[in-house]
Amino acid sequence: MRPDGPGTTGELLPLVYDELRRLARAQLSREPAGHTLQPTALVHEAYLRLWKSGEDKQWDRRGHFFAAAAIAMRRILVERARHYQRIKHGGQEKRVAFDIEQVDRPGAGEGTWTDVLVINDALDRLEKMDARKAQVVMLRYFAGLSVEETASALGLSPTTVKTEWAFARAWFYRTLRGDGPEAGEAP
Amino acid sequence: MTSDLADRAAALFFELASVPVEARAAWLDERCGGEVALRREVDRLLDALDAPDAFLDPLAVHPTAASGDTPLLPGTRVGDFTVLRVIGSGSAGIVYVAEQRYPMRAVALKVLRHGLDATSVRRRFELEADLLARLDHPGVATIYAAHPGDASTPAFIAMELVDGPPITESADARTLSAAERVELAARVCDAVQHAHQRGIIHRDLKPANILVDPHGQPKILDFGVARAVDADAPFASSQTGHGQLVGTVPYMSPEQVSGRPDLVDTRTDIYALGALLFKLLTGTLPFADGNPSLPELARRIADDEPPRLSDRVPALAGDLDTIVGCALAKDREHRYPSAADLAMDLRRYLAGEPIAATAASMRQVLARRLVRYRRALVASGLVAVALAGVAAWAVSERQRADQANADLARELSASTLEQSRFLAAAGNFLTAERLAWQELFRRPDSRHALWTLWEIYARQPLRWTVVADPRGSGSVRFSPDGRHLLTASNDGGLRLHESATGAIVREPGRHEGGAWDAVFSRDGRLVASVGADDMLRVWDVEHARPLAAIPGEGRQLFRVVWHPNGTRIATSGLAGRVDIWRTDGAREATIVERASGARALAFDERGRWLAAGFDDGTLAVWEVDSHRVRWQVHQAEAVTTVAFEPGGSRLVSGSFSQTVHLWDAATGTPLVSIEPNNGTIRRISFDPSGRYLAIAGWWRTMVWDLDDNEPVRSERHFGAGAWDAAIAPSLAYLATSDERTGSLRLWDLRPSPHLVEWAAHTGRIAGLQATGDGALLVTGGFDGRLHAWRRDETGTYTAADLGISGARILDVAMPPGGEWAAAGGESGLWVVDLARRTAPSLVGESLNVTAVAASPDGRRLFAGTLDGRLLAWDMAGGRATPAWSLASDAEVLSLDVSGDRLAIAHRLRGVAIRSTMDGRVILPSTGTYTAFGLAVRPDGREIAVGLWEGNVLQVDAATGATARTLSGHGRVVGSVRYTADSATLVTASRDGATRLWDVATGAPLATRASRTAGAESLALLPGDRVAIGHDDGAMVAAEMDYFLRHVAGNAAFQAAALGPSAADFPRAGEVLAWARRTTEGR
Repeated sequence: MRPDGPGTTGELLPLVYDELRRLARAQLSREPAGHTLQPTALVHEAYLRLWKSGEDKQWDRRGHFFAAAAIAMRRILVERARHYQRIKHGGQEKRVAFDIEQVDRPGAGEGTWTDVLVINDALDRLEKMDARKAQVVMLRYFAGLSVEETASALGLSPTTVKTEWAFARAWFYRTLRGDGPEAGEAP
Repeated sequence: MTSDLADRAAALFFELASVPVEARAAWLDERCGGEVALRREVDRLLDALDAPDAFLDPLAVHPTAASGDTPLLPGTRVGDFTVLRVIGSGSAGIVYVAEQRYPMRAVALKVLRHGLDATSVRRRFELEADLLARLDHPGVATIYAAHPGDASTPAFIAMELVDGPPITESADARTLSAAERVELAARVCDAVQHAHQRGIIHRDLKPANILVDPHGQPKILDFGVARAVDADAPFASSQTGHGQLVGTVPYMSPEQVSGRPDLVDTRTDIYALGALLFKLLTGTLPFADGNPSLPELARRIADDEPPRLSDRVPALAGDLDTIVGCALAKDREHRYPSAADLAMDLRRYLAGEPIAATAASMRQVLARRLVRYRRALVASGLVAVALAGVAAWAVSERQRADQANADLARELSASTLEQSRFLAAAGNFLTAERLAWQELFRRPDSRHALWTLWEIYARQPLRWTVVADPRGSGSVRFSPDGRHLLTASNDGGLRLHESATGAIVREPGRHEGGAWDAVFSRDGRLVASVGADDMLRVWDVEHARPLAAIPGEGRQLFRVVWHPNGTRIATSGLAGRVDIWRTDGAREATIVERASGARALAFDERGRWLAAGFDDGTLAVWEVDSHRVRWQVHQAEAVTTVAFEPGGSRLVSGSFSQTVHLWDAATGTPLVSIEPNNGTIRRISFDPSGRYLAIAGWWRTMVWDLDDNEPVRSERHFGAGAWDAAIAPSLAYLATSDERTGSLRLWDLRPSPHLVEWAAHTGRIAGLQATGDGALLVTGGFDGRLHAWRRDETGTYTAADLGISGARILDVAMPPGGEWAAAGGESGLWVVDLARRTAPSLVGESLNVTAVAASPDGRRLFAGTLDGRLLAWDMAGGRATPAWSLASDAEVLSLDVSGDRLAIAHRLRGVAIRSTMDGRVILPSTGTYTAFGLAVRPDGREIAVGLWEGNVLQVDAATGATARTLSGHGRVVGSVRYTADSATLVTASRDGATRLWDVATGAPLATRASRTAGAESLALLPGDRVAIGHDDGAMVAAEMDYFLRHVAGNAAFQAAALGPSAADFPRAGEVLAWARRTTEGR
C-alpha cells in the first residue's frame, strides 16, 4: 500500500508505528517526570482503542488515521490526568492557575497533568466556537503534527492551517493566562 | 469583563482569520462599531498573535526535519571512523559498514537519526554505552565506541560487524538437526545470561538480532542499544533493518504487547528465547498460525495459551515441549527464572538427563495427584505408608520451589537495583529513588539496596525530606542563625522546622485557608506572615504568640517583607497595592495602588528602597522615606520575584519569561540577564554573602554563582517543581519547598563535605598505607618521595617528607601499629623508623622492588622484586635483619599479609600463599592471571585480586579456585581492601572509580567516581573512611557512610510515599527504625 493510500488499522500499524511513537513522545514530554506512562504504552493503549473501534475500518488517508490516533491519545491522557488529580490533589486551585506557564516549554520533559486538563477544557470551549481551529490545535498540540502534516490530515492548505493555528494559539494564550482585562489594565 | 464579551470578541477574532490581512482594520472598525470594550479585547487577542513561539508549539523534533535521514556518503568521516556503505536502517538511524583507523578494522556504525539534545538523554546514552562496554562475551556483538553527538559529529554507536545470516536462516542453510538447534539456542542463552547478570535486558531478541558468524558462533546485536537511544523502546532496529515490526511482534512477551513496560524484566527475554526456540524447532511462530494481522497477533500473545511444539511437530513431544512451554509461560512467574536455567535444561535434555521444568510443573499437579493417590491407596489399605512417602516428596519439592523463588527474588532485586542506579546516573531521580526504596523496604537487610540509595544521594545530595502539609507548602526561609526553617503552607500553617533534621519544632501561627508568605525579622525573633484570610500577622516566634493582626481590607495580601530596622513591614497584594505598616498595626503609607497584582516585594539591606514587581510586567523601586518612585521598567511578562543583593548594588528579578534580570538597584540600568533554562522563575533569593542566587524554577532549582556567572554544581540535582528555595546562612545547605507534594527538602550545597583532598605528590601515588587507628598514613609516589601524614586532634592530616629520594616508589608498607614504614621501588628498599623518627636507611640497594608488605605485628617486612625474588626481614629496634629469601622466574606484582599467611602474586601465575615464618608454600600458585591488586580477607578464607582489564576476582584461599568475578571497573584495579568485618570489599581502579562490593554476594554496593585521575592505591580508615591515592598525585580521604545519613533522612518520607501499597512492605518498619537510630546518632 502507498503511504498515503487507504488501508485498515491492521495494515497501517507497522507502517506508522514509529511515527505514532513519535507522537506519543511529543505528548509525554509534556508530562511530569517520573510518570508511569511511556510512549510505547501510550501507543499500545491508543492502538487498542482504535482497533476496538473496528479493525477493518478503512482510513481513506493516512492523515485521518493520525487524527483518530491523536483523539485516542488525547482521551487516554485526559483520563490519566483526571485520575492523577483525583488521587493526588486537594485544593490547589490558586496556584494551578498560576502554573499555566508550563505549557510554554514543551520538550523539556516536565509538564504537568494539570496542563493536559487545562488545555483539554480550553479545547472543548474552542470546539464549540470554531471546530476547524479546534481540529488544528488538536493535531498540532495533542498529536504533535507539523503544519504540513496537519494540512494533509485535514485536507486544507498549509497557509490556511498556519493562519488557523496562529489565531487559535493567540486565543489560547489569552485564555490560559487567566487574567481578564481588569488585571491587565495599564495603571 | 463579562464572559459574553469575551465570547463575542473571540468569535470576531476567529472570523477575522479568514479576512485578508489588509482588510482587517476596516472590517474590525465596522464590526465592533463603537463598542470600545469589545474592540479592546479583540486587540488583545491580536496582540497575542505574537505569543512566544514555544507556546503550545509541538516538539521541535520531527522526523522530516531531522538530520540523519539522508545517508552519509562513502568516505564521510564520523569520529574515528570512515563510512564505507549502508547496510541497514531503522527507527533509530542508519547502519553503515565503516572502517576504523586505530585499530584498523571494519565495524558496524549506527548513526543515530536524532541528535541527543537534552543533557539527561546524552548522559543516559553515555552511561548505557558504558554499561554495554562491560559486556564481554563471544555471544554478544561488542560495542567499540559510542558518541552522544556534538556540533561536529553526529551521535553514533560503533559495534562489532557480524558477518552472517540471522540465526534461523543460518540453521536452515546449514540444515542443522533438532539437537544442533537446541545447542545453538543454549549458546544464545549463555550470552543473554551474561548480560542479565550485568543488569542489561535486551527487550528485542529476535532472529534478526541474532546473527551467526562463519564459525557458527551466534552473536546478539543491539544489546541495550534500544534503551540507550530511547529509554522505553522495545523495538531496536537491527543491522538487517527491514520490516521491523513484523519481525518483532511475534517475539514480544505478553507484558510487552499489553503495554506494561513496568513488568518488563529479565524474564521478558526468556519469553523471546522461548519463541526463538519454537521458531528454530518448528519453523513456525507460536501464535502466527493462519497469518493473523498484527493486532490479532498481539491479542493472541496477550490472551491465548501458547501452543505446544508437538501441536506443530508431533515428534517434538516430551521434554522439549515442556522446556519451551515453560519459557513461553503467559505469567512471567511461571517462566524460567534465568537464561542460565533455560540453558541448563536445554543441555540436560541434550544429555538425556531429567529436566527441571518438569519438576516445576509437577508442583502444580501435586494437589491433584495427592487426591488421586489417596483414592487409589485407600482401597489397597496402604494409605499411611504411601502418604508419608508422598508427603516427604512434597516437602522436598516445596523446598526446591522455595529455593527457586528465593533465587529468583534475589536476581530480580539485583536487576531492579541496577536499573535504579542507572536511572539515577541518567538523572531520573524520582524513579531511581522509588525503585531503590521499594527494594530496601522489601528487604531491609539488603546492603545492595542501601548502597544503591547511597549512590543516588551521592549524586543528589538530599539530606532529608519532610511533608508537613500534603496540600503543599509555599515559601521557605532560613532563620538568621540558620538553625531553623520557616514555611508557609497551603493548609494555613506556619511551621518552624529544625534545619538539622527537618523535625517541626513549633507552629507559631496560622492563616485560615492558606498561608502564602512568612518571613523572619532580622534578629529572628519575630515572624510576619500573610495568607488567604487577607491578614498581615506578626508573631513572637519563641512563644508562638500573636503580636498583631492587621486586616488586608481587600488587598489580597500575598507577599510580606521586614524592613531591616525591624519596626516596619511591607506587604504586596494581588489586588495591586503595596503598603508599609508599623509592627503595632498602623499603616504608615500606601506606596502604590495598581490594577495589577503585586507578587514580588523586597527591601534593600539598608532599608532605603523598596522594590515591587507586578503581573503586568512592571518592576519599580521606591524610596522608602519619600515614597517617590526611583525607577521603573516594564517587562513583557509578569514579575514573579525580586531581591536586593546583600551588601551590593544590584537588584535581581525573575518573571514568567524564565529569564533572570540583574539591575543596577540605584538606577534601574539593566546589567545582565541570565537564562538558567529552569522554567518559569518562581522565586529567587540571595545568599547572605550576595554571591549566590537560589533560583526556584519550574523545571528545576539551581544555585547561580554571580561571580562566575554560571550555575553552581550543575551536575547536581536539587529537585523540580519547587515553589521557593533558600540558601542557608552558612552556605552549606539549600532548602526547597514543593508546593505540590508539600515536601520540604534540604540539600547539601558544599562541593563534597565528605571529602578532603590534598596534592600529596607530583606523580602517581603508587603506595598508601594507614595505621589501624587511622592516625598515621604513609604515601609513596612516582616522584620518589615518601610522606607520613599525621592526624592532629582536629582530625586534620599534616604531611612530613620522610627524606628519601630516588627513583619511583612502587609500593609502601607499614604495620597497623605504625612502628615503621618501608618503601620499595626502582632504587631499592628503604626503611624508616617512625617511632624514633630516625633517618631512613636503604636496606636493599641492589633490589628493583615491585611490592612490599608488613606483618600485622610489625616484626617482619617482605619485599618482592622485578626479577622474581621474595625476601623477608626481621624488624626490631628500627633495624632490618634478613630472615629468608626465595627466588622464582616471574616478576612479583603484589603482596599482602594476614596473620601468618603471605599472599603473593607473580606475573601470569595467579596467586600463591606462603608462610610468613619461612616462606613455605601453603597454597601453590593457581591461575594464569596477573594480580595487580591483592588482599587477603581478615579471616584468611578468601583472597581478592584486581586484574588489568578491570575485573576483580574473589578467590577461595583454600583451593585457589576463583569463586566469583566482579565486573564493573573499566581499567586496571591496582588496589583492593577488605573492611575489618570482612563484609565489604573496596576496590580502586585507574578508571578513576572506587567501588564497594558485598563480599557475601558479590553485589556492587556503591561507586564513587569524582575524579578524572585514576585511583591507584587505597587504605581503609576507621569510621567508614577511605583514603585513595591517585594517578595525578592527589590523595582523597572520603567518608564512605556520609550519604547513609541522607538515606536515613529520607526514609520516613519515602515510607509515607508508599501510600496504600504500604501493606506490601511489611518490613518497612525495620528501615524506619534504622533511620531513626542513624539520625539520632548524629
